[in-house]
Amino acid sequence: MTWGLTLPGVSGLTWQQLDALDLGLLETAADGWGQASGRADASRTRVDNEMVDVLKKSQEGDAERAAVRRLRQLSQNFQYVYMQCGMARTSLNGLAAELRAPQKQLREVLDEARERKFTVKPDGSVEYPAAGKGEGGQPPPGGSSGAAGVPHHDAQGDRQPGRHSR
Amino acid sequence: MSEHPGSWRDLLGQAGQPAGHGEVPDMRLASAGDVGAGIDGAGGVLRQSRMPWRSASGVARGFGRSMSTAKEELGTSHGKLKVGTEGLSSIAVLAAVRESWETRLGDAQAECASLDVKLRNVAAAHNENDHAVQGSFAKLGEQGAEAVGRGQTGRAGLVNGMSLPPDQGVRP
Repeated sequence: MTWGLTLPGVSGLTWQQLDALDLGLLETAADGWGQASGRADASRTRVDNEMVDVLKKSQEGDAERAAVRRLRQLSQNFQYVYMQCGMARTSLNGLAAELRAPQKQLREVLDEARERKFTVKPDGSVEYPAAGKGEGGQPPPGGSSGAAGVPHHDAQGDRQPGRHSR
Repeated sequence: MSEHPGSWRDLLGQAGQPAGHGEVPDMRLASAGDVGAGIDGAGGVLRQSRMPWRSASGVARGFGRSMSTAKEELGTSHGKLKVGTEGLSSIAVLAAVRESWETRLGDAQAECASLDVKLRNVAAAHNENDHAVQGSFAKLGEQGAEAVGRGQTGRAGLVNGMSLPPDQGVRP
């Protein structure tokens, strides 16, 4: 059994790491950026509507002009925070979405291997036990298939498929 | 008016004012607007009231709190990220980006606090000025009332009618 993992930007990710990834954490982090972005957007609107417009309509003089100039700068800063934090949110949500499909595929394969009582080795190779009846009444011998396109991760032991949490 | 004398021309030249056009340079309050902006070209315009500044100060204070909360939310939302996303190199980069943005949000918070103080000071200065002017008018009114009481002038009390007792007011 072999499967290739070619994820752009995460080429160093082993199948064990992909299996263990908590993608919900990426989305929670994205929410944090989204909240910052939303706060900046709301603040920008309030600067424009409740400060700049009000001061321009009710005041006139050097103090008003200086204050409005600075408030407009503040508004632009909030706009920048809104955009940049929004981009961070989108990137994190996008990363979670891109990883979800291969993670699902990996977990399905691992479940299937578990059902067949196969053992997935750390390097992605799979060992399978002797089973059934072969020629001459002897069961086909067990063996293993090599891994291709799956990075090694010697630090971890064999994986008994199906033990991961969802 | 004729041409300005030489010494005046020099001074006006240094001050960047047009000299020798038969015009007297305008003298106006530093806080007033450009000439011609006022009604009938009467000079600069100055409109001031306290409430908009106080209100703006309150809004700025709210921004400071909002940015502080945003910073906290950002920190909380990344709490377990490092442990749960082992192997993703982009998460290490994200930590640096987040740190930078926490600093920026802190700067925004400081900017809002600074604005809050400045806007509040404008409101306070206006309030003090308002009271001082009101007080000076009240004083004029009292002087007028005394003058009426002494019979020195018949209508001086109208400077500030509020300070005149009802029986001393000048009725139409």
